[in-house]
Amino acid sequence: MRLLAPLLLLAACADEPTPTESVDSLWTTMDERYGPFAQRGVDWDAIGDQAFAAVDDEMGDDALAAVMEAMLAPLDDGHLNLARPDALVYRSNRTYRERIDDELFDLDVVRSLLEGWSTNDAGDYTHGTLCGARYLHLAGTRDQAMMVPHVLDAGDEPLILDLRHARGGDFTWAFEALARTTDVERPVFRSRSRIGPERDAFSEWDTFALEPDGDVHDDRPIALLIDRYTISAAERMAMAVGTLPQATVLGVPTNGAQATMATHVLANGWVLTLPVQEVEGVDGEVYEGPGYPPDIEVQTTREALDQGVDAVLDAALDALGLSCDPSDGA
Amino acid sequence: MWLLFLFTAMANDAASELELGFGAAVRATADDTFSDRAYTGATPVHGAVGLRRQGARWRHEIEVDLDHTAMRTGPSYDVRWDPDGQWIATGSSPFFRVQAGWAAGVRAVEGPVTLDVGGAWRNRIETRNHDYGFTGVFGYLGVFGIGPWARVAARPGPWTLSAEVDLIGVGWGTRSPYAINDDPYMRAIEDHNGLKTFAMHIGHGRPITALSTQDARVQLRAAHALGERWAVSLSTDLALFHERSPAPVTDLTWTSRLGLATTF
Repeated sequence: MRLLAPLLLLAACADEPTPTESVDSLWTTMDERYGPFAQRGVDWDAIGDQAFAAVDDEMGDDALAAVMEAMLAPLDDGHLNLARPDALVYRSNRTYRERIDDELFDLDVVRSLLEGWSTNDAGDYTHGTLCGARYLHLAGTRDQAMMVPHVLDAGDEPLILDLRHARGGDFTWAFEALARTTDVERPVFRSRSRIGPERDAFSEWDTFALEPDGDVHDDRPIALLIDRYTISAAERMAMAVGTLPQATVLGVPTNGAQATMATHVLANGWVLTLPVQEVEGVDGEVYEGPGYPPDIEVQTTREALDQGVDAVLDAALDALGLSCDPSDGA
Repeated sequence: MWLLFLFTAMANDAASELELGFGAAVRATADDTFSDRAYTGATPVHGAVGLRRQGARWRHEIEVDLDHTAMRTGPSYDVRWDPDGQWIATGSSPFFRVQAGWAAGVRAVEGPVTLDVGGAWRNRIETRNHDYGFTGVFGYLGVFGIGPWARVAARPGPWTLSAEVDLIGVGWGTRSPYAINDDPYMRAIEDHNGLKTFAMHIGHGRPITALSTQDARVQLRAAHALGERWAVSLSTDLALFHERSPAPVTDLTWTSRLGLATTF
C-alpha cells in the first residue's frame, strides 16, 4: 500500500502546473513525439529557448497560450493543433488558421451545376452527373470513401473525384475504395513513426501500395480535384489516385499534412494534436509541408463562383475531353 | 482449462460454487503515451461471474469480470474547432475492461486458516477510447500471462473470509504503440475487419516478464452462508499494472461488488 497510496493521491489531486511547467510539457511532448521536424526544417531547440525566455509564472492563460502558440506557428502544420478551455482551437497551419482561399471552394455552386445530386444526412459526400461525367465529392476520408466503387458501379462515364476541402480520416478506406482502379500493385508512399523519445528514433520505413481488387479492373479516366484544404488521409488518397495512369490531378497543392496524427494531454490539461510520422512519396519526394502537387495547376476565383462558374471543374471536364458549359446543365 | 475443471468436478469429495456479482469500479491510469496527466474515473458498471471448485486438497477458480468507466484527466471544458462552429465539450474517455482468470492450487496448510498455493493464468483486454470532443484516438491494452497464486481463507461460523493474490510472471503484453497511430496500427485496421484488427493488435505485442511488466491483483472477499446452498458475498479487488517501456504507464483498478453464490 505504500506504493499505491501516493498513486491514488497523485491521480486525485495533482497540483496544477506553473506556466513554465506547461511550456516544458509542450516542448517535451513535441520533442519526444513529433515526427516531421526535419521535413519541416524547424529548429525546435531554438524555439524552446525563445519560449522559455518568454514565459513567466505570473502570466495568465491567455498570455501562456500566446507563448505556446508562438512555439507551434513556425511548423505551419495542419495536424498540429492546441485546444484550451473556452477558446477556439489554435491551428499551427496558417491556411486553416487564417482561412486563406477558403472561399474558393463552394459546394453549393458545384451542386447547382450538377444534373441532380444526392448526399446523406451527414453530408459526407455529394454525387451527381455533370456534362457526361460522374461527379463525387468526399467531405472526409473514412467509410464514405466507399462511395467511389458505388459511383463507378452507377455508370461507365469518366469520374470527377473532388477532394477539395476533404478532411482526413483513415486512408486505408481510400485504398480499399480505389482497389478496382488498378490492375497492378502501385506503391504510393512510405512512412515511418516515432518509436522513442530520442529525436531520431523512428521505425523502419513501411511502404503502402494500392492493391488491385483481383476480379475487377476499372480504367476509366479520372479527374482528381485538390486544394489547400485537402488534408491528411485525403492527401494520401490523392497520392494514391496520382499513381494511376488514367488519372489527372487538377487544382492547387494539398495542405501538406499527411502523417498520421495522435493526441496528447499536456500537464495543464490542454489537448495537443500532433503528427507522429515522416511520410514521403515512393519517388522520394517530401510532400509534408509543400503539399501534393497537381498535374495541372488551376484555381477559380470568388467572382467566378458568384457567377456560377467553377474554373477547376471546367478544367476537369477539359482534361476528360468533355465539352459542355456546366452552367447549362443544371 | 475447462477440461481440467470438468475432470476435477467429477471428484465426489468436491463442491462447486457459482457466483454472480455486481458493483462499482474506481480507476486511475497514468499513461505517458497519451497524457502528461493521470486519468481517473469511477463507474457503477462493473460485474463478475465466478465458478469455483473446492476439493479436499485442491482448488480451481475461474472468474470473468468487466467494467466500463468514463475517464477524465480533469474537468471537461468547451472548445470550438471552427470559428463559425459550435462549442464542443472535451468530455470523457470511455475505458472498457474485460478480465478472465483461472487459478488452481493445492492445499498447503490445513486448519482453521487454510492456505492454497498454485498458479494463475490471467487475461485482460481493454479498449481505451481517448475522446476530447473535437478529436480523439483509440487505445488498447492486453495482458495474457501466468504466475504464482495464493489464497488464505478462514471460516468463522457462517462466514468465509478469504484473501487471494496473484501476479504475472511471464506472458504476452500488447498496448498502444509509442506513436499511437503508427504503421503497424494502420496495417491492423486496413482490412476493416474487427476480428482481424483485434488479432493484429494482440500480435503486435511482445513477451513480458515480471521484470518488464508488473501486473498483480489482490482480492479480499467475505461470504455469508444462507443455508446449505446459497451465500451472499462482498468482495473487493485491487489490480496494479506498471510498465516503463516504450512509455511509462501505471494503472490502478479497484473494484468492489456484492455477489450471490450458489453451491452445487
